[in-house]
Amino acid sequence: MLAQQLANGIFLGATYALFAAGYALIFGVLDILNLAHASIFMVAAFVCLTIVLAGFPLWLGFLVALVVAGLIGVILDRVAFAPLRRRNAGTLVPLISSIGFAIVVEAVIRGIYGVNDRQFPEAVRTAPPLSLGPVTFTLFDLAILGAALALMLVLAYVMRATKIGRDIRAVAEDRIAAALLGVDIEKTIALTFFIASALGGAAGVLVGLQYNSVTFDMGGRIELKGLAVIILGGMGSVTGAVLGGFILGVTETLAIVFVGSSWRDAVAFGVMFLILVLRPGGILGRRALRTA
Amino acid sequence: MPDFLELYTRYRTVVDQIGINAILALSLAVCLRAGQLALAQAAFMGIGAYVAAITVVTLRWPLAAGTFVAIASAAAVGALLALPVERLRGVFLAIATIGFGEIVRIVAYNLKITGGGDGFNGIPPLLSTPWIYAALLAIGAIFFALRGSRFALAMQTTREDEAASQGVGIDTGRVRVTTLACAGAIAGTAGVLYAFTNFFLTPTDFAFGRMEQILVYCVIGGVTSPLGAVAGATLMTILPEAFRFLRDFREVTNGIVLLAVIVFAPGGIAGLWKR
Amino acid sequence: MEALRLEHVGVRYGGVAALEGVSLHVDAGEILGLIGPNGAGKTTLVNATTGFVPLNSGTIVIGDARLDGKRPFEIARLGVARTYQNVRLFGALTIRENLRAGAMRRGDLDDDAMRALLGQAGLLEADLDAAASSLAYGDQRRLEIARSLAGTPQILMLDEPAAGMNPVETKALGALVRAIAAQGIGVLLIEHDVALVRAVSDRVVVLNFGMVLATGAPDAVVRDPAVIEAYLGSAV
Repeated sequence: MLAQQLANGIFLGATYALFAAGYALIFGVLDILNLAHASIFMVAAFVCLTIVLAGFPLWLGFLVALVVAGLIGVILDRVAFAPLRRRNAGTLVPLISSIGFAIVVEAVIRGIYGVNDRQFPEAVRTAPPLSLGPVTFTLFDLAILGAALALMLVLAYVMRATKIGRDIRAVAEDRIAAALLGVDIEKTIALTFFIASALGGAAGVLVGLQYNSVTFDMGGRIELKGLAVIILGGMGSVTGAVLGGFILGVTETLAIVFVGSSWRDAVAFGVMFLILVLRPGGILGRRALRTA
Repeated sequence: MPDFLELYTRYRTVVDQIGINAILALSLAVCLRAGQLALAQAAFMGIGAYVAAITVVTLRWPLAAGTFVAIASAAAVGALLALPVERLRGVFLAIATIGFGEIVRIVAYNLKITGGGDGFNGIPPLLSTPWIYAALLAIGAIFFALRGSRFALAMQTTREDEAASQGVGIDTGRVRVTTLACAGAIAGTAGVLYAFTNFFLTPTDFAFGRMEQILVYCVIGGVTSPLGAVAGATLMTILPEAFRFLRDFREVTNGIVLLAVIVFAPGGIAGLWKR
Repeated sequence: MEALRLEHVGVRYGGVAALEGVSLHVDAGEILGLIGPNGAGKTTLVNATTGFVPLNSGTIVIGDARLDGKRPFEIARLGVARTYQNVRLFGALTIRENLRAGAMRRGDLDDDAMRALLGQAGLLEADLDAAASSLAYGDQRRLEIARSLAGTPQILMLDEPAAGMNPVETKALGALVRAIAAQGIGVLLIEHDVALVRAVSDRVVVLNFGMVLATGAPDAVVRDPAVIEAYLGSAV
């Protein structure tokens, strides 16, 4: 029972981690809370669903959804954040403009697809159940976990070993210094949004598949959880967010065992509140992105 | 005036919503005026609504007593919330208070006396439109009377520079506690009005979506301007109704108006007025 | 009459001693100049006195009241006013609001009182309803002094008030500081401009490495070989 919940926690945590990695990346680079991240998460699930329903294979839907999510992220930056960067608008106003963008995206999807729950065809999700000692799961669960882990490894590689990653870290560290070193700031920020939103989109597709439910408001459930995760990991730390994602996933599934499922969300927000009050730097300490 | 009466009957819920949303916007405007990005107004509203419903409907208290206790509870919760978050500023304060709001919602979802997820049903319509607007006017009058007071000034200096405020003898900790207590009382009032004009309450009524709307009203209005906040609440409540013909697309207009105001009119409605 | 007294004050940042065993006093109506090389602990002394940084040891009293352990706003209410090395006005607020904020500890100000304060600070022409941030830099420094005077303090601590001022402005500032002391306010003046300190101070304390190096009459102190040694390379 406990082992099964731990396994469920890891499957859940993988999607939290993926979602929050993108959230944290944008906070780390721009010091803004991007409340449109969850709406891009949702759009990607719809993109993948539409492609699969049109008869194309799932992997293709997943890849296209990632690219579309990334591109929407770039548009988000252009529309909601870039104009504010030019006039140093502080933290409140970008937060609100991201809400504005999210409202538009959600209303468009709601207009196109309506308010009803959409499902992937059953054939996409059928997979034989596997057992590992007391734990049972399906090959499909494993594939989701694998995809999440693979994307996080790609992110780690891009951030550490490529020019894009170095540029992003330089901009996060000090935008003016990075510009003096010849980094194209606007292009780097656009790339950051592409990467972060593609990760968020991937999380959206995986969550949609995990629960086999895609709705226009599916982002609302994970939006605030994502906040809890990046607080847990220390705001702006991608490594911390990934770690925080798994910790929250496991904590939540254990909370179901010990305090019941109706209180499980209170655990996430209770932990988030306590960390902010007692240890605002998160479990790894703030500014970890800048060194990672 | 029969035409007017007919219009009112037809749009009564919208008229009520505008008034309640305007009060909620004022609750946030108080916090923003003191530089506190505290986002627990939806939770304060929920506390006011549930306490009013429980005292008046379940416990059969008189309306006035229930209303008083409801508003006082929301104010007390606001003041108490200010204490643990004392060291948090800006976006960190925002996230902590969002978390607090979620906890309040989950507690309401799990308690028996609130009706849990099924909601609190059968609340008699003890209040109506005139009460809503009387409350809005009363709160507006208090704002007007206090503008230029030493307390209002202390709030503004706290927003500008907390250390320098302390340096001239302003107890910024007390300013923060008082600000959140006022925000609690105002949003609690909105909650009472909401409870007695809507027949039933569910925890989702006070979730983060509501909080986002309140934020939007204030930003559209010009962030710290009380009149702007009221104008913002009015505009953003009417817009989706006016664009009903767009059906499920209708919220698009709100998003576009919000983005346009932020990008092209940074001072919001209040800024346009001054220009 | 003695207004402010620091005894054996010590402040540590992490492991580093910023102030160690500093004792000094400021009398009512007296101007005490506080000089010393960069990093000697002058601003730390002001921050410690006004409660912005905690003491590790020692006591600070004003009249009969202990200041150490109190919070900044409590200390301000006991009559210790200050200015900041980098001007800290309430920039978006008007001059009027800045002065009213300064008077907060004792009540409110009418327009005549504000005009008098501005006149004293050399800002006679200023528009009360203009934003504080719209003033020129030197005028912002003067407004900051006027704001601190609005609370009728017993002690005024000025942290490099002449920074960024031209010689004419500096001279006027010296006269202003003398006039403030003449009202019975004890002034602690931190200043890089040693000529200004010599010209206006009644006594001078020299800090070096967080400790009092010398104290005495201005002319005697600046001739002290130990002081010259500490300042080696910079003009005394």
